[in-house]
Amino acid sequence: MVEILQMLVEPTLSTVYMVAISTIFSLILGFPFGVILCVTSKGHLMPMSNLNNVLGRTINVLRSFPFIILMILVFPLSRLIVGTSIGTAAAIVPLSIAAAPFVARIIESALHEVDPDLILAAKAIGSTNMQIIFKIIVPEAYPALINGITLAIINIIGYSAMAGAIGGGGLGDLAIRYGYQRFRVDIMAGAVLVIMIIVELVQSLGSKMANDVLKRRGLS
Amino acid sequence: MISLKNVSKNYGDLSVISDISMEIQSNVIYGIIGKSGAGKSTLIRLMSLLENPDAGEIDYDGVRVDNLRGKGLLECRHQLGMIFQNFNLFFSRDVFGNVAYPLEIVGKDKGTIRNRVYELLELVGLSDKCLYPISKLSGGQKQRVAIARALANHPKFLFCDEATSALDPQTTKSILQLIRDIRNKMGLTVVMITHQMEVVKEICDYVSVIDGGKIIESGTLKSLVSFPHTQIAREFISTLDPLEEKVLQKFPPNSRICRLHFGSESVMEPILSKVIKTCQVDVNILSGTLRTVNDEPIGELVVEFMGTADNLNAAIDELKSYGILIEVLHG
Repeated sequence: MVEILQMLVEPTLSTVYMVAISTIFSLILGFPFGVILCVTSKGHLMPMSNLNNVLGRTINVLRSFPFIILMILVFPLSRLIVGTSIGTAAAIVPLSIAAAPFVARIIESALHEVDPDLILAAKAIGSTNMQIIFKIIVPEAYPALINGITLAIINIIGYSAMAGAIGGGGLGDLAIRYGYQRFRVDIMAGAVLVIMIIVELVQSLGSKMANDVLKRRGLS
Repeated sequence: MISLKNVSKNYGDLSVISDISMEIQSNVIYGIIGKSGAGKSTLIRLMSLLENPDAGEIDYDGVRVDNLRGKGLLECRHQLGMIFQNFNLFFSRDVFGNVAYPLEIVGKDKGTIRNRVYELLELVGLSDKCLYPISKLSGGQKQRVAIARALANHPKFLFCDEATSALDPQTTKSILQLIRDIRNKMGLTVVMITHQMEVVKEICDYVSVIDGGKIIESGTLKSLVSFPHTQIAREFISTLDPLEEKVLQKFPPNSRICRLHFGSESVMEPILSKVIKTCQVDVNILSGTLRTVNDEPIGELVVEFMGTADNLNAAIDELKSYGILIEVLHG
């Protein structure tokens, strides 16, 4: 038992590290595109149908890659950025790239929920488009954004476990190497349990944060 | 002064505003009344620079504004305020934050913003609600916050897009009162679009009637109500409550004004004519309606009776004997 726990500590930390950094990078990559997708759509703040179409299609293409294939495809990129294609740090590159289009879509749909009349009101008093996006649309969408980002993090946790299959480190790696290849069902169960706990924690924290915002606005 | 010169706007093949020319003098409250689909929302969006006309010209105080773009347009918009039917307040901000927003976007410093916000909240009577979330306010309070927000940057023009349509009659009156007070205090020019004649009657100095994307009638409130030339104007005027307390005070104390309710049995009889003969009273008919309820005619008359006290009482007794319900409104 103690042995299993000891074996779980390091992979858990790598998973948390991998997921956290990938979330940050996928947000940095995905957030601007989510905003652009939303505001360039028809009838929105800056309608630009060509840009919107090209971006939308590109994101769809990226999203249709199975993660495991995408990982192998970006091996050269990982090597270029982190110097290696195996290990936790190397897995962050494909994880961020895989999650970014998903994040962009989530951001887009969250921002789309903002009442267009509020945008009109902000426009009428002379706001610039940037002011409307960052002072009105994004803050108005906080609850939906928080829920969406929670969803994205849980998705990344799932991907990170898969990354273990091709040497990505973390809990997925542990589960495969010991649980699958060496028939240590107890270690595999432990790894899965820890992943379950992480997912549960992320979900409850996300829900709580979204709820707190709603409560502050007197909406729940 | 806002002037529109031959302004037109189309959505695809649909002409929404066709060749409207009008002038709105400074410091007046100008009502634009029309049914839904008449083009009034588009008209106010053109006036408030939220949309561009396809043809024609819009001037603010003699300066053309409809062709402004970029920075010039933003600066021009800072001098106008707008309020809406659904208030359009930001839920991500509390009352203070909503009123502070227009000040933030023009780069005012924190101290100036705080002072101005308190000043505005005081003006609209919501000083105690400063830190309230928007969702906790009543409709009337929300519109007050919206008014405070609209006034933050000392606008020259206030545009009201069906601003009272979502409010109950009592709250509507108080909001209109507030708009009038503000106009008087700050010398604003107010443009209101509405489908409620009640609103126009309460507050506007000038009125235009819009129908099918055209202004079909314009004038001072009094001239339009007294001499409506178009059918639509007459229809709007007919929605006004014909008799109000204030009017009753203008009649001499010795006359008696009654509202008579005729049931379906008595509505066909020439009862009033009989009473005039038998009781020797004079009758002045002030208003009358005949409604059809469940296919039965129900009548209502407001009349002024004149005569000696005895005759008046006799007349009322006689009317009652015909089964007419009588409400004495005056005298």
